[in-house]
Amino acid sequence: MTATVLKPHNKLPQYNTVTVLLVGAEGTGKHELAKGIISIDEPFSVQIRTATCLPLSTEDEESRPRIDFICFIVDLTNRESMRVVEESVKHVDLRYFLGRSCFVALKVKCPEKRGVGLELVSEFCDHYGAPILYGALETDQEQITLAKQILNMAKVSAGLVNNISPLLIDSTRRPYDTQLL
Amino acid sequence: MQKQLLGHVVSRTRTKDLKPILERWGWLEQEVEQIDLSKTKREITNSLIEVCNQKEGLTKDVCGELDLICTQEYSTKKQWSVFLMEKEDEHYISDSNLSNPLKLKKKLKSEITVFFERENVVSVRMLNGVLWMRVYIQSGPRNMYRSSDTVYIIYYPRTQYILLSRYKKSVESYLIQSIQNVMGCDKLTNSLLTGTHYESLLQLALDRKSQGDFSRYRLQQVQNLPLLQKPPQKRKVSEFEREPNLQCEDERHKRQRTEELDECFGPNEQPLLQKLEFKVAVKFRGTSAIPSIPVDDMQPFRCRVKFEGPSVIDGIRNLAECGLVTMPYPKYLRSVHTLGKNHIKLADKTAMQHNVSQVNQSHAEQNENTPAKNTRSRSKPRTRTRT
Repeated sequence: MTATVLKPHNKLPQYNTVTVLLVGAEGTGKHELAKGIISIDEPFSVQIRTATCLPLSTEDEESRPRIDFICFIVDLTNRESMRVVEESVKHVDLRYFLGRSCFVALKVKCPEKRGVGLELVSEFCDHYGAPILYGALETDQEQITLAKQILNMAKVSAGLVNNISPLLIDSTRRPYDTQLL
Repeated sequence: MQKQLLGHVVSRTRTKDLKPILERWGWLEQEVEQIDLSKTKREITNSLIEVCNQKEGLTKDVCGELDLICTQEYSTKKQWSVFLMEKEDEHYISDSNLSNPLKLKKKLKSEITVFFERENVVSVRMLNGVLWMRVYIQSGPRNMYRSSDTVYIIYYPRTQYILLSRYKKSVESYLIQSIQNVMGCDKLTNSLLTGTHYESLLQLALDRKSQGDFSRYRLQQVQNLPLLQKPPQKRKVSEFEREPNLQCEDERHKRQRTEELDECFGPNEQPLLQKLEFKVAVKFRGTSAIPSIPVDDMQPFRCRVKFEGPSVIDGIRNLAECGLVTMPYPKYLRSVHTLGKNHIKLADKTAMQHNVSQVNQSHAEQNENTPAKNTRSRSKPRTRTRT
């Protein structure tokens, strides 16, 4: 059980590097998002890993760097992608949910095509205490905006921003459901 | 009627294809140049009719030839269905008269005249070793052309298969009987394979004989059937992009999946099939997804599953490649390219027996040869109580 759970502190960090893991079902546009994140010019290097589901295979455990930040990608038109995320979240250490992970809801623009309700997603995120980013990947602008948002959070979780820790960010966050306030 | 047919041909063809078609027709020689192809279709039709009227002897046969050439050019516009010719004593039909267009035309004409007393027109042409036939059977008033009265037939000499375009239900029995007489076969059965691309249809029909190890050999080989002149097309492989900063955790899994698919479908492009239809009558298995439907293992859950698109078999392969289905595929999808049919019925063994019992209950008195089936259906409830 312990081997399959992904932990944030079991490896040494790499120098001046942010490693982001994108988890989402196939066909959700992980690669486009990854390319968007890589294309942003930053003074540190960015490593991206993509996976269709967790747990990750134990075979290349050694070569894998420490994962600083996890993005769970949900395509709102694809019910399977939500199921994949629900399954994958179980294999993640709880310390990741203190500011080291986020959910990304894609294709928010067309409500008539939605297969997953927004309430369901936000409830799920409240349950895990992680933020949601709403966005789309259709145009370059949308892609870059989303990538920048992700990278800002990932930067903090990798410890590259002075005096700010992921826990600080997380404690200033409010849940989406107003009744929980 | 000739005029109507000429108008029909012009309306079916693209203007830039009209000149080559008329040249292939060969009936108009120098006069083709007189037709101005830059005008509207109506004007083209009028000038074509005028040019044809200047020449003597524009018979229905001659016009039929033109219509047949037009069909050869636009064969994908027609819906073809494959029929299997069966003969008791021989495996395939090997009458040398059948590969000669003139002799075949004579034979077909005489057979059609026997069965249809009204006016009929028969034309036969050969294109790239394939025999194309056109049979026009008048059904409406005299001198009135109806395109639905025409049946087109494609026959690859020395094969067991014959392809028919859509025909009227009313002429079906006589038409099939006359084709049987011409081809010298005892039985002509619809093999439930339909599509618009006739070459692919024939390939699919012929591949039915190569199952199992043969199929694996054929799929991995680059050599194709000698009947088809074109070499097989290698399908485009979507190469996985590699970037130094981007790494896919389940690349190994993806590669394994591609290998599995290659073994099952081969590296070549699949024959084009436009439709694949399953009539499913199995027990409902999606109870975990939809709990509101009660589990009743006696009643089969009837539904119809259709795959439609320009190339369905390639599509099924791509579905798995995109990770939208769980691998491995069930056997009926894996072997779709060797089944030789695209209308498939799926049923449980137990459900099938139950169907038989239902049918037997309703038609018990009509069926004479059902005692064997009846015993099977009676044994079914017994097995159920045991479980």
